[in-house]
Amino acid sequence: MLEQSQILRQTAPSSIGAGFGHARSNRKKPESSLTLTSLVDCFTTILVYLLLASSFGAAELQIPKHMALPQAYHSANLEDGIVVVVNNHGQYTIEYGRTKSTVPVNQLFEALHQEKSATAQDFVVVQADKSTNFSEVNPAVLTALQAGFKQVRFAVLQEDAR
Amino acid sequence: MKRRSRKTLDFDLNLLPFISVLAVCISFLLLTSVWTKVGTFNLNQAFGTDGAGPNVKNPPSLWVKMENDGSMEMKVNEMNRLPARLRETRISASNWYAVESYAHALKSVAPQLDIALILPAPDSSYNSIVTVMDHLKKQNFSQIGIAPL
Repeated sequence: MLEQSQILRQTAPSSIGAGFGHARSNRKKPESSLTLTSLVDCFTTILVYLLLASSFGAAELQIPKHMALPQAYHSANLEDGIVVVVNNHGQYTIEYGRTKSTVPVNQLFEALHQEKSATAQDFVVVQADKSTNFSEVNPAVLTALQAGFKQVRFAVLQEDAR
Repeated sequence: MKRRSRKTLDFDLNLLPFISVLAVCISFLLLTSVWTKVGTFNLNQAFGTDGAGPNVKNPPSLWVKMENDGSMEMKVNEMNRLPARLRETRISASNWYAVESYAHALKSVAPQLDIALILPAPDSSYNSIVTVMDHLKKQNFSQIGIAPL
């Protein structure tokens, strides 16, 4: 008896389904609704964060891969201007906009003087790795002043003030 | 009698276009954001033409002389009314807390002291020069200059 009832129970749904084929189509399909409200909240939060963190219209500076700038908490915002990158082995790269030229230290004055007369900028940004000795930065500072630039600026990584 | 069918007040806002717009905005901002902010320290350099006349007294200033081993000698010039401990001090290498404490103590005694001149050694690192400038800026030294070698 027990075995018969078990067999009936197992076979019952299939036999009913076979007998009433149209009943299967009337069954409600399981609805899966994705809760989109939380997703929209999440997206909105990310969007607000990105909008606040982004700095629009700020000047940009290309930092070479091998170069790490020192960090500072009380620096001023970067302005577009002539950049003198202090490379290794006494080479200096002068950048202004998209133009870029690398010169040795003995040609630095001429190059800076040309840039000064061509652009009429009154400041120069010196960019160097944080481990660079001042003896390598000094020619850039000194030559910029001799070339007629009124101000020398040191490029740093800006951190939020403590 | 036929019952009038009531209009349901429930409605579903279609969120998919909104999500699409948000996704596009987030992608755009992620691609165009600049995560590293670059700033500058503006040096107030004196020129040869700015030299004071023979009878003009130089303004009070703090001189930070950096040695090759990283130690620093801090000295106040052209200011007599100052406690002896603040007139001159020597700070060991990378002791930035001492630099800041000294500058803070100096500023509390002489708030009019705005000029600082850094005299780096040939082996002074760019990082240490910038760090000194940063600590002095924090204590409101508005005119910081550097003496070339």
